[in-house]
Amino acid sequence: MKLLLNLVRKDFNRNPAKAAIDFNNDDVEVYILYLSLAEGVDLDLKTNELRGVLPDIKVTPVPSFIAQTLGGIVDNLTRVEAAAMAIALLLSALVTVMFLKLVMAREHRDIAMKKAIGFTNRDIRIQLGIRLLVIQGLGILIGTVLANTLGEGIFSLMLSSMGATRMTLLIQPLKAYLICPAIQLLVVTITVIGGARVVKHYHIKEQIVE
Amino acid sequence: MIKVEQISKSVKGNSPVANVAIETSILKEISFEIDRGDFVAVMGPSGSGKSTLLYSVSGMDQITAGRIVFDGVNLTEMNEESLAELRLNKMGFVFQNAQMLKNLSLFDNLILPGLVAKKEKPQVIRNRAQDLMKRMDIDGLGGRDIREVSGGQLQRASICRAMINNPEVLFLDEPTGALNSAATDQVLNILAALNDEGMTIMTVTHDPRVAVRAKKVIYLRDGEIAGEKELSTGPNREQELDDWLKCV
Repeated sequence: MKLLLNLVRKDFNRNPAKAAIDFNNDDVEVYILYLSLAEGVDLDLKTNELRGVLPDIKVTPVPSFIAQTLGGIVDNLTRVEAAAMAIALLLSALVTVMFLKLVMAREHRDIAMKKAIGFTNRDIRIQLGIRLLVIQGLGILIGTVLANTLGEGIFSLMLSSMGATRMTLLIQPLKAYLICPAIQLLVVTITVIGGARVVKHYHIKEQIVE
Repeated sequence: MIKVEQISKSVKGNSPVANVAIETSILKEISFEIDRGDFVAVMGPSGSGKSTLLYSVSGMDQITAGRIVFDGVNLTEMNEESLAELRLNKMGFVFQNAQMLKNLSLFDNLILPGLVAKKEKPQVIRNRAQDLMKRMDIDGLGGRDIREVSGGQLQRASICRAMINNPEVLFLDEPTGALNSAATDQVLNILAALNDEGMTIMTVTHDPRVAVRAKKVIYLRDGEIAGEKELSTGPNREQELDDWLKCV
């Protein structure tokens, strides 16, 4: 097997003077060469094939390489991401419950009056739900856009004290703009449905005569 | 039309003297009937159970014993959703302090139960609201915020709202309690006219001027009926009521 290097431009130190590799074995400890596989080539098969024909060279698939070199950081960031998501969902539910309680405390007389004139509990729950979901939905929409625009800067700022001078967040559009907001909206919806059930315990006379 | 059979209501609470649970009776085995086209006034001192009786008969408050039969249907066996439907379609309510939604105009408040009932086209409901407002002498106020009208106008608007679905019975809780003399007379004239047209009315009141317009007066004391009086149709109704109230 013949490995042909036709262009090497690996900038190790951001120094243009070292933009070309010096193949003097006395001066370097290791050369790292990245191979891009053609579309459809199986990574494991190709790795085994290269290991077979290049026994003196360490051939490592990039995912394994990343896991070996940055595994700790990746694990930590994955935990941070999961914790951030859990906290975001809990906060969404908490804010929704607080908001629901606020609306119901402020409008207890109106709710009782609506029941008195013939609104069913379901009618009132739907009304409350729509209002809350519109407001919360707007909040989630604005939050999503801000997180995906200003989020990177804020995250970098937070991690700068730990030595990471710059963090680049790779935003997955489907996850960032659809799946995460949808999960958040689902949590809000479930909270609203559960929270608004208390309407049935509203006593018309007590609320109106009070 | 409405049969109230041996209804009682009690609430549990803590004694203010000793820290023990006590049960207080608010209504005690009350029975009476309201016929179609009746005008019944419930009187009595504060705390006698008048409002509780009104809210119970209209299905807005739960009783602990007895039966309330409305048009052959036992209200005490109905679930909350069925009671709401009954209130929407067959009952109208007027509260002491006209309860309106602050974020809606006066007109929108009036048509709200009609739109919720979905029995008729919105235009039909709007037309009826306009007719009712004209009749109550508050036409032209529809676009106003509810804070921009007087108590009397608001109370008349409440009657319009109560009438919007052509109910079979009108329940009123101290409808003139917060009104001045002139506004009281206006509201009473409207109620008398509605009753003359066949509307069944049950009202709670402290005011003999309201009670004298009724056909039947029930006097409550300590949760029990202390007396019941059918008023004659003659010119001496006021004196008749006054004499009865002195001895009841």
